[in-house]
Amino acid sequence: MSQVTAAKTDASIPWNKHVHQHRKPSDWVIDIAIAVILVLVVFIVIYPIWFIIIASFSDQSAVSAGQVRVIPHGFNVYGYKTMLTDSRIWSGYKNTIIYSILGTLLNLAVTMPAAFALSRKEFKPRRILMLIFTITMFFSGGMIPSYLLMKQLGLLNSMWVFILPGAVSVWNLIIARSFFETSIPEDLHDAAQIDGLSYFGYFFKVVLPLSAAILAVIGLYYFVGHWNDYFTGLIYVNDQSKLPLQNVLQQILLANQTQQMGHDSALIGLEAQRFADQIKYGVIIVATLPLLIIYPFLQKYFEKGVMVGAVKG
Amino acid sequence: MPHVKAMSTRYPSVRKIVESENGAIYVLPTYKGDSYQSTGQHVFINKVWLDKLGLKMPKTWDELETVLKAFVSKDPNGDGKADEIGMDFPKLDTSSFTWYTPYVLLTSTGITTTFNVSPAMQGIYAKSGKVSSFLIRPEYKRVTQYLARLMKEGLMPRDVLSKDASSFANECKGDGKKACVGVVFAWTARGGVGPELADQYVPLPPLKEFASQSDKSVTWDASGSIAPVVNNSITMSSKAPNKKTLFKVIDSMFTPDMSVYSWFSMKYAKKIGNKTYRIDPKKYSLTMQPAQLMASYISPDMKIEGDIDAQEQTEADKVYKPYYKHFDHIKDVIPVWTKTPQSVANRLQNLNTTIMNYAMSSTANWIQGNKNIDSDWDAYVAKLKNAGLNDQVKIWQDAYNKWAK
Amino acid sequence: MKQSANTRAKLRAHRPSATQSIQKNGEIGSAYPQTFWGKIQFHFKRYWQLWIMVLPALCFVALFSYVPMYGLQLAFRDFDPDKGLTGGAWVGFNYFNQFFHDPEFAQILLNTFRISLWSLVMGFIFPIILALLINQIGSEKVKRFVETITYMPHFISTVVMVSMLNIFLTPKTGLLGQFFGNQNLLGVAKAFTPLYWITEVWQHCGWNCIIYLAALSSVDTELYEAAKIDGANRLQLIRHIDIPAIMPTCVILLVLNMGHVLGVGFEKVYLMQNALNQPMSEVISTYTYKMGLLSFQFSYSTAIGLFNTVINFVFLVVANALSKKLSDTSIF
Repeated sequence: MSQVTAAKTDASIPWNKHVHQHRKPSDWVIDIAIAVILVLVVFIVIYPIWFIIIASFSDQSAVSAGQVRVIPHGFNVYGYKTMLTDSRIWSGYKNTIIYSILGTLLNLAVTMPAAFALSRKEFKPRRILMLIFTITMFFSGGMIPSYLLMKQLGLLNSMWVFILPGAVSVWNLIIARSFFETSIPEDLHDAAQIDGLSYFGYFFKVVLPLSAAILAVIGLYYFVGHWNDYFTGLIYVNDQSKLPLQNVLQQILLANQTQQMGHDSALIGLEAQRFADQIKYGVIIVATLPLLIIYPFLQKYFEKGVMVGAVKG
Repeated sequence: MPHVKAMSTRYPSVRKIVESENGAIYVLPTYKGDSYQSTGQHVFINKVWLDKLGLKMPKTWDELETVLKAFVSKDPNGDGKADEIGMDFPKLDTSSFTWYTPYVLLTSTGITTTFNVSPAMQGIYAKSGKVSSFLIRPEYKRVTQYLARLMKEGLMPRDVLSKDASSFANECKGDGKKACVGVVFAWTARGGVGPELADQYVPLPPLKEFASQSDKSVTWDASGSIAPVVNNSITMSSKAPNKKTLFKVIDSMFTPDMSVYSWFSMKYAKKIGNKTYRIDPKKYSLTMQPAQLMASYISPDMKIEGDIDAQEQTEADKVYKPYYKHFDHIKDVIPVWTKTPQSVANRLQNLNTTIMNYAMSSTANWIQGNKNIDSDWDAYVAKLKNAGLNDQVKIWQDAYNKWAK
Repeated sequence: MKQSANTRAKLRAHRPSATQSIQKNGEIGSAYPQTFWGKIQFHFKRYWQLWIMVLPALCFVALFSYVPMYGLQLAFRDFDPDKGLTGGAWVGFNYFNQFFHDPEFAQILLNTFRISLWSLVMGFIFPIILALLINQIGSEKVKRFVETITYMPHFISTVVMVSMLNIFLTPKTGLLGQFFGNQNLLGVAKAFTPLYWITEVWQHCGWNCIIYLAALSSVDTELYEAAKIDGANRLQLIRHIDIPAIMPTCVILLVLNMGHVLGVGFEKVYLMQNALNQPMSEVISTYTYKMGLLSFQFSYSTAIGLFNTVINFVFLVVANALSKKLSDTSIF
């Protein structure tokens, strides 16, 4: 185990890597305790995930009987074959990617400037504006008025219904605003004013470049929100070709589940019943894989080292 | 609309189902055909196991208990492990009785259930013209005690009351090669245990509670008479233009050809003669079934071959058919077209939820063995009455008096 | 971005009044206007850019959130399908009263509060602890691995989650069920709340700690070095550097979460619910479903929903006021 301090070292100060520090026994104890806890955490999390992976390749009755422990039991790829050979999957993927990217871009473009404006302490209306935003987190008119509104705006069955209505998430707005308030020192604004920058200039030239971490976090939240959105497609869109991945997967899932309690078709499709549940495990893998691939790229930005905390000059 | 008229003349109950309070008709139903006239509530027992253990078909509750004990301890599927499940059913719902509930055993005591439809789902039944709630009846207590006994003796899975639907389905089907369950509540054998094992099972005829009962005192679930009806199949806006033409279009859905095509899908239904059709068996092995669109009327003079659905249903129901004669379809059953007035809808729903929530959770605890039914019973009855049970019964008695003709 | 203390001091020395004069109203240029209209003009002349920045968000919210709010009146009207959403007779607080007088009201409210508060508190504490722990990992690769693994469960659908729970808790043969004897924990009423919040934490802890990790990753490493030279051990580093660093984020998130105090989601409870655990597991959302949706009582369910959100909102306002007093951070 290296003697380097366990605190995160900034790569731009290379001499930190060679600092030796006398380590007290209490340090070792704490180190080991932390390591043990983390290993436990990883195991608790990783086993059910492993379970889902092997269950998606296993025979469902074995899964229900608890026979699937470490390796697949009754290996088959029915679930994946069904999903991946269904042509709707690929259009679903395409749609989801488009909606998520466009949606997130709009989200950030709308949320970040607003968060910045609301973070300016000298801007007196900001309290009441914040109240106006916050109220919408709680009170909503319900599904039916929203549906009628979408209809009037011509958003039904259009790709824009996935992008426009959700443009602002007040939750994210609040987090971003809090970041701007606490992490960008006011001195920077003073300096910017000296240089003759207006609010726009300050925002685009000074604040944004420093905001990589919060852009990454909020961007991730928005992106995942779009990616997992199942409700919008369910309520507002009938056109099969416009449905995103989540809705396609749900359709495949439901179509394979015979109704246990239904009048009709209790007999029909029993061949598929056995595999119906299998699909539900595979669905998670299919739906989530792209996200898991993206995340590591975003993690870099978290470490760029912009302050969200209370370190003030 | 001549075809619609033919349907409602032949089956007046179908018309009554869609009629609203004031006699107007806003929607039209589908009639699936007489071959669907069977209740969905069936019980199946593994005949292969019975034969292997040299047992006869049980006829009373006690005989069933003995058979289940043998199933559980004597390893009838021959795999060397005495891990067979005696009796299995889907978990009790928290707010109503539903399909495939073990409470069809109430029929052994003479109470005719109709669990596919309200209000039996909330515990209301009729006998000789009088409407009551079976939730507080001694018959209900006895059924619950019986189930509790079976649970205590390990003849039902310990977690049967909390198992989710897909776990339950998989438990019954097992690995498809050896049977795991002795007695199962399901629509058909195939629906209960899957196609590979279905041949091992036969319908279990209604049981007597006591051997000394008369045959006639045992009835069965009466949902069958209305099972072929699918309500709310088609409706039309009052603002629609060209109503006359639309009526013609709608009526054409009820003609024989169109009915079959929209019900079975044009791809799998073939006309082979006048009012005779054949269904391609491939339809039944599809993973995704074609949607059943619009409305249909399958009249008795039509002949459909290859409707496996209907065939298996009729087959399973044969055993129960004689028992439908043991009760009066008007005096002992609340007809499915009985409607409660809109003005009490709110109150009724409140009552239903409160009463059923309490009743189902008490019942579950009794079956599970967490609570003792004998010591709790009186308090239970009192609480239900306090919650408005009598009001609930009265609402239905009034509706029954009005509609049951 | 780090500015050296030097530069900052220089700035301050050169322009002591620059900061001040922007905060005070109007020593720059002409005298501060006295008339109302003059004040408005002044305000816009100075802050028009900020208004432009906030305008798009305002418009979206006005259109998509405020316009449909007329549907809320359904809670105060008798829903009549013939007359549409807004045509029913006005009944005022009728449906609210109905809800309050329901014999199950107390139990339902109690269940909702209990389940939700446990989830809230636990769901608040654990991500912080996890973030602090992960932050201690020295190797970048290991750190990334642990981060990724811990947030994966967040994407599991509720249906699969409850299915897995069922399988693991099967008596005798289940992975966890074998330790609990002859019963499935899902059938034990008292176990419902713990099962609920434990699975909530398990599923979302990793995801929720992302924001804390982002905050922690930006702590000035000079602070660590300085503290270590002063002889601080690991725990003291965590206590005096890490925790203050994430405190504002914690506070804001806590306040925001208070606004969900009655918001126990429907899907998960509904799937986990059964006749055995029902007395402890019936919450407002499942009750609304049974009462409202299953029997088309739209007015009643809207009323309950409105009650729900009003309580949530009150909690948020109170939490917000408290946090303003105690820590100077608040939402509004």
